[in-house]
Amino acid sequence: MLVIPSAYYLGIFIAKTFNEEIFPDDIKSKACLLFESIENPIYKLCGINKSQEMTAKEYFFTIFYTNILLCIFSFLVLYFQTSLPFKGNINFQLDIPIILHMLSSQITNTCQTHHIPEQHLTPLSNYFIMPLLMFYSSASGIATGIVFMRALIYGKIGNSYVDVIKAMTRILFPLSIISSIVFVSLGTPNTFTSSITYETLEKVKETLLLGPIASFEAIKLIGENGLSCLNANSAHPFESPSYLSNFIQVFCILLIPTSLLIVLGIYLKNIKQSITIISVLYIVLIFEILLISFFELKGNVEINNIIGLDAPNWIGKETRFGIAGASIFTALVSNVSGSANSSFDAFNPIAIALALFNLSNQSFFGVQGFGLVFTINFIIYTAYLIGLMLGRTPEVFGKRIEKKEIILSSILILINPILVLTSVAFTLIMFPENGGSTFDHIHYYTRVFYEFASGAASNGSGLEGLDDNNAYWNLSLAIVMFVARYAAMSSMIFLGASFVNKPTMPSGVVTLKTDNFLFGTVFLFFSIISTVLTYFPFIILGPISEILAKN
Amino acid sequence: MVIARDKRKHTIKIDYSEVAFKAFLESIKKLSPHTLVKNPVMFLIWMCSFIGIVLSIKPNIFGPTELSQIDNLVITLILILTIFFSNMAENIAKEMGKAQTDSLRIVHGDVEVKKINDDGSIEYVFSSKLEKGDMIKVQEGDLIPLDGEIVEGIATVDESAITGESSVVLKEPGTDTSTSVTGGTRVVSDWLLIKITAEQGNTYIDQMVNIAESIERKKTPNEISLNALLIASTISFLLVVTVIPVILHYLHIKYEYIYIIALLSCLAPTTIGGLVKPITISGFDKINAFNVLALTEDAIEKAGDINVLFLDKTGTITIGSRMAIEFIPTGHNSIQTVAKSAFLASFYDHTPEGKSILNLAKRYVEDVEIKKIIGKPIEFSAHTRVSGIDLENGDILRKGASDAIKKIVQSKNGKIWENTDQLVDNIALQGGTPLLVSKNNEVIGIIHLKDIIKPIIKDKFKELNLMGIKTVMCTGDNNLTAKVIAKETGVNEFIAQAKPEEKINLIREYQSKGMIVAMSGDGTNDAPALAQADVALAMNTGTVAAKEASNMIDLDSDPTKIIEIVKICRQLLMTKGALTTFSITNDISKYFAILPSIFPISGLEVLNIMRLESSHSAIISTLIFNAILIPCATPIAISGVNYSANDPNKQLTVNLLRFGIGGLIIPFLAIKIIDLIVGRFI
Repeated sequence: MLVIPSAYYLGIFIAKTFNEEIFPDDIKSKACLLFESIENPIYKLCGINKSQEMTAKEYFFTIFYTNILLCIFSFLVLYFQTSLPFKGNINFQLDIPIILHMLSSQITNTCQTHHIPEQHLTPLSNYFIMPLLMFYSSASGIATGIVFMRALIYGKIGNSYVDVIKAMTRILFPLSIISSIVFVSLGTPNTFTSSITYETLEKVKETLLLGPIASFEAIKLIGENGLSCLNANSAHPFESPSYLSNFIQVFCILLIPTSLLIVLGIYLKNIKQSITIISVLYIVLIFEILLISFFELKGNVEINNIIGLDAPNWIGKETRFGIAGASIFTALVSNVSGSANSSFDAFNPIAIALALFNLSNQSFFGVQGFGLVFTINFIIYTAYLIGLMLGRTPEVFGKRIEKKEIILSSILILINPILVLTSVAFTLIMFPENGGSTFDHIHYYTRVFYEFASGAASNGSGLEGLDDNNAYWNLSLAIVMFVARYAAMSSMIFLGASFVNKPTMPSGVVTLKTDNFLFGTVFLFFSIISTVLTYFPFIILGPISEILAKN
Repeated sequence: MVIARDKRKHTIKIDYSEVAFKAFLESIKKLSPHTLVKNPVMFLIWMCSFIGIVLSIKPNIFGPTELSQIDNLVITLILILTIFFSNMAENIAKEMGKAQTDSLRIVHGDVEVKKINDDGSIEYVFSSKLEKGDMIKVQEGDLIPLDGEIVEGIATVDESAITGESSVVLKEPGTDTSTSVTGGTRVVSDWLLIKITAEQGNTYIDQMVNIAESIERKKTPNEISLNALLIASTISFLLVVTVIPVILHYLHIKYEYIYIIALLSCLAPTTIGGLVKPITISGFDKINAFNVLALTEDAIEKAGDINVLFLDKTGTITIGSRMAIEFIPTGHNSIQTVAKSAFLASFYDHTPEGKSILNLAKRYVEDVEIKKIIGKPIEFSAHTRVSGIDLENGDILRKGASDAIKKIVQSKNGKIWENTDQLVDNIALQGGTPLLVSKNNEVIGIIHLKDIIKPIIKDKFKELNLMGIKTVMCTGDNNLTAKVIAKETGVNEFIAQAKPEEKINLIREYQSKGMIVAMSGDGTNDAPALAQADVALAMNTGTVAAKEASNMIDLDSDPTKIIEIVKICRQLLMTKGALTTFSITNDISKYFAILPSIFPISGLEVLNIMRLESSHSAIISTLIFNAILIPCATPIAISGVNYSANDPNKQLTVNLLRFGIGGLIIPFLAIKIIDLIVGRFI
């Protein structure tokens, strides 16, 4: 739980980064000057006016259009990757659906992987385009979270270019550099040699693929993207070589979401608010870990019988209590936080049910920046219901919650079920059979459900076993991811902006306290209940009936 | 108005059986879809019952089924019953409200009057029975019930209810302006014969009651946002219920269509959806029952949000008039001289202040022969701010505001003793009002007038503070006086020598900080500030201008009633919040009751923790529970959840436990009990 103190300092740093005017003393600090010397040329190069205030509409569309532009550029590179330099020994022509899926997946910070990176992508695509998209999407996410808080608390929108650039130069790059150094020191290879060939003990020639894995790993985890340059993801020994590196991965994943919650407290000048929410989220996290560990360790004989493992079988007899525990831990945490680095198919259905729950809820840490907004959105929802019970027009952080806010925040909550449930229904009707490794209706349904849930939640993990690298899957998921991301982003920015012109109510006797135990408990209850009410029947039909079928 | 209020207790009797009967008929009428469209949740249930009817006629219309027509019909009937109960709750609230406003209309101004019959005999009738053209006789102390024209007699009439001026007006026939009298004014002395010129039901109060009634049809801002939330949750359940059959079909699990319909109607927030309207209506009724007319719908909700309350000092914090408590002589004059001069100067002053001077003076002077006071009275005017008498013996006696008297005396080069100013300041420091008394060209003494603070006001302010409402006193007094009164009453802030624009500016300042400002007032000079305030409560005795600038009118003219209004408005929202929470937590338990019945998956019986008899009885029990919850919760909707101002956060915890946890547990018990009963018949 080293995360919290580190997140605290990072939180202060982020708070200062994005709202300079509230900390006037720090404007001229050395670090700040250093960053500015990097940023200013970028602003100049792009013709950005640093101090220009944007409207919510401008803010959203500037992010949206720059994302699209980046996608068009990346599309061209990927489509012509075999004709471009740095192609290594890859000679794979990508078809349009897979490229669209890849782009949609990267730019939405989902990083669902249908391709096999080390076989399908040239080093240029794999080590330049992919990280570029990962950085940019991650920064866009952070900017969304920041602009939401800034609008809600300070009543200001700000400038999207400045926010995105700052998110990259001041947060993502430095953190990625630090963590990649750590990963290298732990034994993750970081080289531009793309493969080495060696002879195994059986004298068979095998090719071992290498690359700047550590750097990739850093942005994958820091940015919560979850895209790997190797197909097996973190389960690959090169990506996470040891028990210790597993924990560092967990640390990296939780770092930014936690520190964004600290930023919330700093902006509100009420750090107790952060503590309340962080405690609730960590309690959920720990509870889920305990629950899954219990079922995993109890039922690992069965698990070995479960089909469709495409990750290395990490439950080895000798090391099962060590590595297995760590892997569960990592895998689960990644799932909670919205970054996937393990194949979930191998897990007990209970774990899958919980994972589906997390994906549907999205507020338990969730995706970079977005998770924060989902969390605050549930705070708004809870504050609305409780506020009514205080007998006054409900307020959150001193701002009244009215019709417009309720509509936008309901849209935000409804986007996920609408996209997921309709696309699941559509898929089951149109493509009732899929040639996965073994076919079972219930499990196929669970997989389809999981695939869309993870896409819509910009999570990107998958149950695999789906033959998902085909035109239908690539295109449908590309659409789901794209719509989910930008529909959510726009409603987030507009929701935040709707608070801009509202006066801040001074707190009084009859003000709802959002930073105490009572609120924390009710917040937890309502955020769980709102997800359970929508998804309970579907989780019952999927993973739970699988459990029942086995008993 | 006291008369009217006392009458109320005797005359209001809501005939509950009639209310119930009317409500019943209305509820049947309102089962038609076009009235239900306005209520999205109930409209959804209506669509469900429509599909139910189709299934009852032809059970296998969508596919094979094991259920008979009767089975489908039972479920459909329960659904229709749910809509009926919701309609019933709304109509009961509406009918009760109507009964209440009707009685309000009748009671106000419904006093006993002396009607002159054509043969000249006098008959006692209630003013509500009067018709246009009737003749009535009004005497000293009587309320003039309706607008009319003077036929005979001369009388002084207190028209403060219309003009706000506290001085009385002489009324006599034959002149242009003073031959007509207005309903609601009161005869102060003598008598009048009046011919009624206004029609019944067309008085000022009637018009206000009409406005108050009509606004119940509009939705309040919080109602709109709550509706948005309910629509959102209904959409999500609609989605869930549409996708479930697709998946069940895919998984080759058999299911009954009517059960899916049942699931949707159980999940939809029917309890709150069906009761939102009754809660609002009964909130309005409660305010009406307090003799307050709300003229705009958002006034009611804003009243619950009030942060600051602006009050006029006079009539609110202090009783309307001041009392003389002390005579202070200046220079060589004796206290007796001052008392006597004050007595004479006030002899023709019929204001309560003047009377209090007379009373006090009688203690010092016994030798005044009242019959011998002959002179020309000088009446008080707002311009001169002095009054007095020019006696026959040549003495000129004046009393009035210190600066006004000083000005007069100085203009005649008269004498003002040195310590006068100091004495004047002393009185002001004590929170009193000094009046100077002058005899001929000399200021001979000072009358100390004191504001009488209303006895309960201190407690009321304490209560307001507990409710999170800050009080601001507006007064025309100087700073010192205002300070003393503020300290004595516990008012949080005050504006002394308040001009209308200062009041408005201060109100604006609070509003810019995001606060909701309430203001109660009665004078024409309050009107601009009332118009600026978010919640403006005008006294019925106030001027028309004040009333027109306001969004609430207090028929009893009691400004501290704002406390009750705030309580009612908060209770209104609390009830909505509580029932919404109840509706949401209910769904969890309903899932446990219904899902095992809908999904015939082996092993899923684990979820059937209530051990319900069969799938069919589980569904029927849950639906029955869902339906009877509405009439069960109607009393809560109409009377509101308990409200105490003392500890809002404790109250919140209690309500959360009661309606949140209660909402989880009650369905488990209730559905089980219903199942035990229903199970026997299936």
